Amino acid sequence: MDSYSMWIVRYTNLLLVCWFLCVSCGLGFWIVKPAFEQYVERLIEQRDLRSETTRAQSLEDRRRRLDERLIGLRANIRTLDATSLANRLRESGNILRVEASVDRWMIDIDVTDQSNPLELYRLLGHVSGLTVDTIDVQSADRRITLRLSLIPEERVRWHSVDISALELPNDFQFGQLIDCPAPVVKAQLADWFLVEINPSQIQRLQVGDWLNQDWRFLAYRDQQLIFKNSLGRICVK
Amino acid sequence: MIRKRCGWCLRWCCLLAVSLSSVALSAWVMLGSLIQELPDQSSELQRLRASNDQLANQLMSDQTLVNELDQSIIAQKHQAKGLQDRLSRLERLHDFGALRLISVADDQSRTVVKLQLGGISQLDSAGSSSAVIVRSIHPDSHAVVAEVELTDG
Repeated sequence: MDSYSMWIVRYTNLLLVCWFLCVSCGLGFWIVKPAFEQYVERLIEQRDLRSETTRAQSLEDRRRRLDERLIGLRANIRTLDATSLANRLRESGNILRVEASVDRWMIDIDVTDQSNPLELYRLLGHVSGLTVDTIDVQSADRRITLRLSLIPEERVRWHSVDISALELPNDFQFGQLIDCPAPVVKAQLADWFLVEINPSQIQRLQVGDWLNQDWRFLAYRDQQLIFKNSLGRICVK
Repeated sequence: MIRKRCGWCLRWCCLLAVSLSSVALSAWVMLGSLIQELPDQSSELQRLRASNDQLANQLMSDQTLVNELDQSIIAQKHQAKGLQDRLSRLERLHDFGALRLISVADDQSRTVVKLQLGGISQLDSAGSSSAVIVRSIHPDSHAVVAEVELTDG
């Protein structure tokens, strides 16, 4: 007991310093620290709330801008399948056949009645996501048909805005010339000729008139009719 | 003397304990009042964070769609340019003068045209151009049927 008391007397200062530190740490750990942590937590929460509010505002602004852009884009761009593409191409002629597989779309179009059979090129300029593999134009028997072979990608889209401004050649004549006609002159009255094209068809002709869409009446000499075709060739019958 | 010193030490220990307790208590009270001033908004923060994350995800998918559509516009431009190049090949036929087109086989690298001309001499205008190759000629009584290959060269 005496030695214990002696130890206290000898190390009083040290004991007081240790006591001070222990009590400080104890109180700090059990009382101040939890309250301080809660306070810091609230501060962090407030800061996060402010940053989240700012983030929400900027996200909202961004959404507004994106929405406007999307509305504009969606109004002009539509996703297509083979059938709806064929419907769009109806403007260029009568759709005869549509054949669609995963990797190829085939569309046959009759463009006989079109003022420009190549109008299809302009319409294809509205499409994206589609490789135009081949375009075959055939003219036979006064009909012009067009076969399209297309390779679709993942998404085929129709753009209503024409950015292409394609220049279409519009002065090509399609279709083979028909053979030189062999009409028979039935009567002549001054410059007028009455010719029999076939037993059921008699036509009145004057020099310069087109007998049909390919041959024009040029002259009548030595009881022979002279015709000239649109390519500049002459035939005598 | 020793006992007196122990008592003195004990008193100081108590004094320190009391004074430190009062400091800690006042700090605790002050922090408490500060905490009271800051309302608990953790639930609101969580809700805002969740809605922001959801909106961000939605915006990301919207942005992807916008990028995709922008890409499709670029693809449309390429498509149009490709078609214009193909049509430009056909434009070369104008050098031949009057002609009739019988068939056109147009693929990505070349266009093969079967046409009817007034005479063989019209084909001379093709000259030595490597972009126009006359593949066949069939003279007929009223026209010449020729097959011509047109390339981008």
